[in-house]
Amino acid sequence: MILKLASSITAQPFLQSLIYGAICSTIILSVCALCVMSLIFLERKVSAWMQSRLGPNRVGPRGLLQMVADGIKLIRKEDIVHDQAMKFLFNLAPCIAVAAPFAAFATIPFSENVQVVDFELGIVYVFALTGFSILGILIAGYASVNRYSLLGALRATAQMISYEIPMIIALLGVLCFTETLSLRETVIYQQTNGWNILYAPISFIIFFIAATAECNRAPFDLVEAESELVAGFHTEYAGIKFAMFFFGEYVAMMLACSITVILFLGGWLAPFGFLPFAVGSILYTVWGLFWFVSKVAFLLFVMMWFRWTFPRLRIDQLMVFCWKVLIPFSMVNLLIMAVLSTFIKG
Amino acid sequence: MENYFRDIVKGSVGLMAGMSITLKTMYGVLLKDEATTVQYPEESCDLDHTLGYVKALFSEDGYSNCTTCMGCVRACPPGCITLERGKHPDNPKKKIAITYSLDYAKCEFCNLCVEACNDDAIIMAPIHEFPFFDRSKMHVKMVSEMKKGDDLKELSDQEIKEMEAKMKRFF
Repeated sequence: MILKLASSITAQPFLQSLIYGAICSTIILSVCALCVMSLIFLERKVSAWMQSRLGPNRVGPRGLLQMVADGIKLIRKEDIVHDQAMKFLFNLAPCIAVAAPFAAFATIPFSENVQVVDFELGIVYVFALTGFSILGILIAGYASVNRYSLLGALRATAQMISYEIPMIIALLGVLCFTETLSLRETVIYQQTNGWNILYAPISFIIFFIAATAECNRAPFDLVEAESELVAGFHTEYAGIKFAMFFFGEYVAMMLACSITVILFLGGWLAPFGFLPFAVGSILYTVWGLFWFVSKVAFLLFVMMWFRWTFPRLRIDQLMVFCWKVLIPFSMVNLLIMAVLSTFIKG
Repeated sequence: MENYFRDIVKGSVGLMAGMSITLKTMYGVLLKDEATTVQYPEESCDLDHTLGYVKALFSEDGYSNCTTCMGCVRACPPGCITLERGKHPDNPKKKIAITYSLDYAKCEFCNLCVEACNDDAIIMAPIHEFPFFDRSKMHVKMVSEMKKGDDLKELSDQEIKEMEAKMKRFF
């Protein structure tokens, strides 16, 4: 639809794709911004409920305006860059941290026809960009010229490198069945063959744990570790730049959950193939969007559930968990998946 | 090898148990209204067993039990009590406090003055809500001539009555 609009404005293919990209990125940016605002609010609410509290409930009806107030507060705060920081890198870091997960949304199929671009190498693209966001954290830690920041950044790097391995290996198990790297094709495969979680439950668990670690969420939040490192890599950041890191973190969370939903939980497909609308109609698209969003929301809730239940791991426990538990299990799982897929597919 | 798998199973069972506890708590808060939060200005907790405002007690003739032994003044760590001696109007041999004032800007609510008091002339009452808008007003002249009903200049008669009613449980 947007492509049609772009082609009606100008005939030049380059300008067309430029307009298309601009419109799509604006939509994704604004929707993501709204989602992140409500996620931060929900995070506070869920944490409160799990600790037998009520959470923010004074600003606006049921505290809903709290998220607006938080946003305005962060934007209006003074932007402090201390003297010894490397100015250019210091300012660049939050941009990278936000831009990388946003860019990955370009290939996420939100519903039947709601996708910006369908790459054939969509999965590789997404994982390349999630690996890229670590660069933002590393630059932030380095440019801050602060021991705590640097420690946080180095921990982040160690963690990212270790946890990317079981994540990808778990993913390979699924790829044995789907035999495609396009995210859209993955969902369409699940339409005929049932959700991947039925074939690969262990892959799903390993993938989700590794994705949680990849987002630097508790119990893997050694990068920030308030009780040890002040605030880790973003210790020196204030105001809008801190907000950008925060933003990037939540967008990365949404991205990780979207990917998990697409790979394992059938993307936009309704459970049990429940389909009240004709394929191809607008209602069908909305129906798919609804299921996609509710699945992602559920996984986001599980992530929050993890965060407010488990204590933070120590760095050695983190590494032991990855190298001694997740990686062997994912290897064995991959072997089983490969054998199974050859048996099933003949 | 056996230990390895046992640890993993044990660990996952432990994690599940933790997650079930948080989920139960959330269920309680959302559906059964079991949150421990008290919406303070609208409602408040039962604080009757706690210590707050320092309060003077009175004997039956309407004057304070205080014999001006200065025990409380000496016991006070920040030295926020000032006590002025005077004579009882009916019985000149008996000493009473003419003024007894307390600077709440300094007071630690440590209860040492109450413990030092030999005559049960002061206690700590369970009154916590006495905000001041002016620092100088925190120096409260609790009694003039330690006469009953005359204390707590900052509070209204109604509030004093409520306080008195609350205090009854201490006798």
